[in-house]
Amino acid sequence: MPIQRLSNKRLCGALFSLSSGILFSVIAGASQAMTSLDDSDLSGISGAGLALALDDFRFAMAPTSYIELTGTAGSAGWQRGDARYYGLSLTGGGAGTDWYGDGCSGADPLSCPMGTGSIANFASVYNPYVIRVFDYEGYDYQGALLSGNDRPTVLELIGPSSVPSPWRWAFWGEIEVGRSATAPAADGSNHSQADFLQSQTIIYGKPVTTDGKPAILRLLKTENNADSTFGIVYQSALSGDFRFSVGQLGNSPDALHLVPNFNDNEGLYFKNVDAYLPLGQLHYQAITLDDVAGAPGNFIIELTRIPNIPNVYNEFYSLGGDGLNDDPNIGYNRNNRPAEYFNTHGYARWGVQNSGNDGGGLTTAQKRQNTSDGIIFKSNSSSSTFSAYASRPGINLSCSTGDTGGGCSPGANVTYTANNLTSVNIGDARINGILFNHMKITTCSAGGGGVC
Amino acid sequence: MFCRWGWRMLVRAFASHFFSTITSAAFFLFSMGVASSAHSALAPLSDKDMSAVTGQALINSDVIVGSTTDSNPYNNFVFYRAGLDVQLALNANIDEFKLGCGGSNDAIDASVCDIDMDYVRLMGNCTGTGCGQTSPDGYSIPGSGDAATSDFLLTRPYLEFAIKNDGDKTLREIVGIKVGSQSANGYFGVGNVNCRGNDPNCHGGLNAISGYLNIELSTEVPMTVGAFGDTVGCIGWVRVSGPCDGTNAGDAYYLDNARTTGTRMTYLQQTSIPVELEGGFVSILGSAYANMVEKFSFVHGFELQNTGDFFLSLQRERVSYPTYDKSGYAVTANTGWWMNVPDVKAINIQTPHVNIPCGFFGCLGALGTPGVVVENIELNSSPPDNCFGNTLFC
Repeated sequence: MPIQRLSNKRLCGALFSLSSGILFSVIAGASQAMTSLDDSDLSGISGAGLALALDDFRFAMAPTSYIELTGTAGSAGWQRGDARYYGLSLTGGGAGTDWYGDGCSGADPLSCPMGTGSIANFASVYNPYVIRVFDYEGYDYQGALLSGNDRPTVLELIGPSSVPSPWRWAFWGEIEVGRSATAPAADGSNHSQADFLQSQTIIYGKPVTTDGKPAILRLLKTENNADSTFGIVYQSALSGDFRFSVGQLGNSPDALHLVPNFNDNEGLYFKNVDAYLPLGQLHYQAITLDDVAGAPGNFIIELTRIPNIPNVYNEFYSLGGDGLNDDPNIGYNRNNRPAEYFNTHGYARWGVQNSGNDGGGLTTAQKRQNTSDGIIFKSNSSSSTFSAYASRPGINLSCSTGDTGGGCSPGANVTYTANNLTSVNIGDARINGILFNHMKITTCSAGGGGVC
Repeated sequence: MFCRWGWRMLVRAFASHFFSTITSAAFFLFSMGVASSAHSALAPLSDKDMSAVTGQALINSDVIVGSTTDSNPYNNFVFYRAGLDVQLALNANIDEFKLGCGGSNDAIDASVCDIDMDYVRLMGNCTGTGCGQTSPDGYSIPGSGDAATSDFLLTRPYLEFAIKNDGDKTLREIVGIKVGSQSANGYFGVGNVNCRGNDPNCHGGLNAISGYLNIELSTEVPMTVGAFGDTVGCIGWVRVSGPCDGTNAGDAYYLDNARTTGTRMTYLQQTSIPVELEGGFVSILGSAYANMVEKFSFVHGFELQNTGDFFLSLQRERVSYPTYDKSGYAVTANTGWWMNVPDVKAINIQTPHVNIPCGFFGCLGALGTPGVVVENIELNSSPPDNCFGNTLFC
């Protein structure tokens, strides 16, 4: 059974439009007047790379076209899971439409999965995608500095570092639980006849961090003498807003495989997201692929472990100072960290710190009702309300060691309840300084004998 | 053949990565094209070839319908689970781990976040009696694995969506999301130690936590009890040799869950903790009680031993998520972020000497509840090292 099935027939119905075409150019010529290249020209290129500019770009699969992650029989208390992603689209902001065909105003970009227009500067000619081969200096897995002619060559695709306006990336999805391989639920089976959850995901943002780090994909041969293989280094970058929702409208079919009509308001929102994740480092850490010995069909995706070699880990940690190993506490110092620290360490932030939902001078009610920053839950409508509640045990800090008596007992719990809410802001979140020493994903069930 | 296999793996990895990390579709499509041109010996696969491919299905799923008849009003949701049929091994450090800062829960405490931690280590644990790292100042860190080479293991990690009114499409709403796993095995380290002693500024890291912590406590506290003189207080089942060895053997002591469950908890206070007195004149009294007041920052980690109910969640209202085995429900999570830790071992803690300056009648007060206050006792807890070299955090 194929693990990921791309529906060719349905993809035939997908709309893929490049409104003003794709402009290729060698990078060396980017500062001069640009001319188009035909196939013959392209075949003759042997230089530094290609610049790929995409103006007025738009990509939209039909709402019925899908990409499927096919399941198999469940194990260990699980049921089979089949996931389908429908109507993948990259479109502009402003007014638009949903997958059901209803128009939407675009006043809130996250209420509308697709803009009617294209993305004016998806990758402008001044900031294009760049495909090139390049030689980078750096330490290899053994700790040797590769420089000069020893610099390894990598094939890389570099995204724009500046995107003038955010754009929408959206799809609707379906998780089907416990599908029968012999008697699968039919198209249109309603919610009471088959277990499935349909959802909508909308991102309104840019594939670049707020400080201009682009997304970069690098393909290379790993510089590990004991395990030289194909490797990937990926720098993920994203900023913008995100919405995940499940509510639908009255005319929505609410049926398996049929295009839903989603509610424009309900859902979980992440506002002002900014994320950067470096997965791999030149030339000592990479994403590699492997099989699982003794477990046919299973496979491994691994972000290789950092070696215990000072040249490598000092570079990776990037904590500064010449005497790195002389100061055990240097990692606790957040001041004056070297610039390289922020390349090897990732972050994910949801919401702007000290703004909107956590700024000074705001009342708790104002923070709770803020819908422009941080993480927010919204209900379907003004008539659908809920209550936020939290409490913690009381504490009595008035006594000291040695004191006795009931006067030292803890006070009452600290509690609040906020009723009749149609939205609640649960604050910002930030995970800073993420350093992956190692990560390994090993599949479990194919053929038996796996790690699980 | 190798190239074909490699190409399939490449596509598989790209597809999986793409859909899981939220990036640009164009990025994906173009990178596929680039990759294909990088290999000269690739041969196209026909539909027939594709149909013969067998492999791994990554997605598991489940649905749990909450009870509408029990006495718990916070599990009346439908919970959809979407899991990866994989084992995830991870060794990572996080400089700041702060979830739920500001927002609604500022009504509890605006000075901290729901989950508020510095210098977090996700690493492996160790097996064997007495195993673990030793801190630079000589204190054991029981259960901690090796620095940078051990892995925190999550088997079949999953997302669980709590859905309200699932049967009514127009009222259907997402209420919360939980990140859990079939089992979690590893060590969760946090914070730094600046000095030893009762001063809370000696310890940093675990600034606040929201969730449920099921804490087993065992300590050996040498103390001077006012005019009664020296003795050793034994709390719980201490499994290391010393004055408390054998006291309460086999009888683990767990803190009252009502005192270890809540939102933005910065302190733990529990009264009436039974203390067995070993040695000294005062031991003829047999036992006493402690009123423990402890800032959470004195704690620097906990070990997870193949637990199925360690999870992190966020929700708009109170939710009781199902346990992994679906036999019941976890302790109800409050609005905001929530961490469910079903077993924290704060055991075998051998503290420095504690002076309890009680007068005669005050000391007698320790014989009854709520007991004598013991505030910010130095637990000698330390975060594990998770870096190569001498650096304690990186």
